[in-house]
Amino acid sequence: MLDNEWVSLFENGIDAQVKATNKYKTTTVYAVIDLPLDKRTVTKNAMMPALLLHGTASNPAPDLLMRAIEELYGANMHARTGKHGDVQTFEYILQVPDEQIIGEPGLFEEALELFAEMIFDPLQEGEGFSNRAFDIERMLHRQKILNLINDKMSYAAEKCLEIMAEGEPYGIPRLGYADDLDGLDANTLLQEYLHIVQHRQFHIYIVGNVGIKSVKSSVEHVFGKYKDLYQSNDDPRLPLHIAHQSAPTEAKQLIEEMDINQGKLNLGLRTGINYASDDYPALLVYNGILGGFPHSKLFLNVREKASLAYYASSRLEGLKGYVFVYAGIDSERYEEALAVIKQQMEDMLHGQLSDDEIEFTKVGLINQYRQSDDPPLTGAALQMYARYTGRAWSVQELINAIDRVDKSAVVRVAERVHLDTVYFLKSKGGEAK
Amino acid sequence: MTKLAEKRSDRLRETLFEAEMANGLQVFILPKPEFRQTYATFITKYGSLDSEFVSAMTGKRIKVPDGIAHFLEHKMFEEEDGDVFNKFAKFGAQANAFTTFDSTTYLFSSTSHVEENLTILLDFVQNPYFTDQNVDKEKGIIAQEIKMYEDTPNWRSYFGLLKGFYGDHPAATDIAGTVESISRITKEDLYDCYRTFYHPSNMILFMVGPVDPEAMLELVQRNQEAKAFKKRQVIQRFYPELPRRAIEARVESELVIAQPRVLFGYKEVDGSADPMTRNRHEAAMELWMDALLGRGARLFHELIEEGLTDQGFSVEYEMTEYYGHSILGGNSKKPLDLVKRVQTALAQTAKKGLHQDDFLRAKRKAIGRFVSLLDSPQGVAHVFTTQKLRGIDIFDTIDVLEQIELAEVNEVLKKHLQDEQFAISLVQQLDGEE
Repeated sequence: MLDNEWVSLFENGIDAQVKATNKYKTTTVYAVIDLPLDKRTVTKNAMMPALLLHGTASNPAPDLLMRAIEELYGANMHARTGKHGDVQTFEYILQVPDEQIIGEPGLFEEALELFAEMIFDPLQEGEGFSNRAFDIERMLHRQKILNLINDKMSYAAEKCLEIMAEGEPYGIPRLGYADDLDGLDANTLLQEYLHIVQHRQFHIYIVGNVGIKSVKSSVEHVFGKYKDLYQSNDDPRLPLHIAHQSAPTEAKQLIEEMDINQGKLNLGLRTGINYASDDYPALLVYNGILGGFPHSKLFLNVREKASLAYYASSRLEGLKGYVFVYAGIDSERYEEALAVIKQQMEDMLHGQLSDDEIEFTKVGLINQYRQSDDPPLTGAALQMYARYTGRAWSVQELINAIDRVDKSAVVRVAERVHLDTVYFLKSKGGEAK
Repeated sequence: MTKLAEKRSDRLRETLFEAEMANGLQVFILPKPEFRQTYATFITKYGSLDSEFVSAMTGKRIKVPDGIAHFLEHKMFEEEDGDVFNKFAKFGAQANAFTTFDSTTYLFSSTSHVEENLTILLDFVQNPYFTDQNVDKEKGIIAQEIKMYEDTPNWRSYFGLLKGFYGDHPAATDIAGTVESISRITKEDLYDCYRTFYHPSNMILFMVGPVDPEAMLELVQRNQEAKAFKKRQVIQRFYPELPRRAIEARVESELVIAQPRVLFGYKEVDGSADPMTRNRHEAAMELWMDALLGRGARLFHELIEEGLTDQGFSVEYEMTEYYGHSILGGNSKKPLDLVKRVQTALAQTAKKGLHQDDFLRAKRKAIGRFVSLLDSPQGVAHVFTTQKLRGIDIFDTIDVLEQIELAEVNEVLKKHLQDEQFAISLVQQLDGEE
């Protein structure tokens, strides 16, 4: 049984779900708030969770807060912003070693108290976050945004996305914009944070070797203290704009130069099919055959046959229905690599797919979905996708649907695929020192 | 039939099964019936350090080009009847491999057809197939892999620091070699390395997942008995002597990055031949490093608040059979100030000793993190096998941690901070971005 192991703790009120299992030796708590991804709010929203790690009312400094949590046998907690399609999230995570193994009854509830304190009772100065914490975090946040350039693979991927999804929420960078940091202040940020927490539904997922009864009482006890602070029902559906199909015109192209050793070639493809579509499983298979595996067309033709690259793959952004192709190549061989990649797409369109390619990809995908039962939070992710798209797929449904995909379905997907963007980060003449 | 030995930990709710095949292959199985995936690794005690040895083919002492262990790892995936990835793909397995300084690992994970996939794993690693043509083709691919790493600040700063510690000793040589060194690799070199280091007696098979240990052992045994191997012999490896002092106090390079990156640390003066001693030493080192500079340490946050670094600042200790070193650092706009600030704090702590509370926190954290490691099939497979090849059993971790005392940790800290063992690796910003 792959699904249906989650138990809702409360009929009404906070959305808290538990998966009680002795599979893990760590108990994981994951809480999430969904927000629309918007140019005007992305930067400040992105900074808020990071500020929570600077301290709470009872542990009023970052080291005191971290020390308090690490005292609990290396329990770990974190708060961050996430980006999922056109949605921005606040995500809070707590991991606690199994108190039975450690031999410390009460360890979990103690950790949960700190977790709730981090979320609902941040260190304050007047009406705002601590000014000192705010100044430090703003500096760090600016640097995080600028640091994107350090990793050339991510940098090229982000540039490709920026060009492709210009004007769409999905084209907005996860951490926001460095220029927007100047206009922020500690007061507004805390007030807006508390406003969001009060007006957006809060979802909690708990997975581990816990008893349903005891975990229910812990959640009631710990979160009850803050019950006026968060929204426990009323889920405002988030509008998810499924990217409109662009007319099949010339692809956008941008070539930039940098002092690097290896060129980065990134392509963005639109499919017009996404997580909510009946053809989503066929799209998974399309992407898998193109570049999702070491048996895929890209790996085989760009790497193994032409020795053009060490990595050549594709990745599907399922919520939006975008496929991204990426390869690290010698800058002089750009035309050749681009031609080989386009040829693979062309071949798929003309049904040049072997039975093995289709079969290997299907069993590979099914293996991935079965394996997704091993990490503790897959079920939470599926629920998030269901909220964002209005379509709930269970793992078993996806597996069954993938199993039914045939060649004609893959070609049907290929017919809807359009090359939208080509981005090439080229190395400047000569090698970097 | 070989018997499985059983090692049970009631506290950890784990049982580890082990057996040794007649050809010397060691087999370990950690059943996890609740998990969907089976994760299997087949690992040889052979890495980039082993560039000089007595060839099992010719009996002669030879020196091979840098990067050959990693090259060999790539080439194992090609067989006369085709690509190994396709064989795994047929049974829905994900396969991969990687090479380190002292080991090479081949692995798969799958949720079905475990017996077929295990057979593929054993057979492809035990069946080399090198031709002039397939060796030549791989050079272009690996050249791109090398270039990819050269653009990465983490990689640059890491190997810069190793150069500072060890100079041209193999401990500081890039695992993948250079574009030049791999161009010299021939199929004959690959067979020399393969025959020397891929003897079953130099290897470990590890499996974790919902498997029946008896059935798996039987499969492995049948598979191994059907294959002929030369008699096992002790492998003779030659390493240049480790430098007594750090070779270069500061190594610099440049990349297009948003701010400089700096790593620094101390190499060990001498290691110990005894694995138990090494294990305890490693644990003691990791305790003070976390107590003093981990996320829960005051100093970590001071470094950030003073604008010297960001949350990516990290510390680690690496210890192999032959050498060990500490590595500290991260991004910094004032890299030399950061180094100085940390060095001063380390010296002060060495003088007055670590605080008892910090020590206990780090100890508890290390115990908890080990327990959590057991939730990751991949994590436990890799940590278990690399340490086993070094003679260390990770299931002793909790015992070792519980035994360690503060005085011992203080002693280890004090001894580690030797000025002539210190080096800095600095990756500066390359001017003229974009």
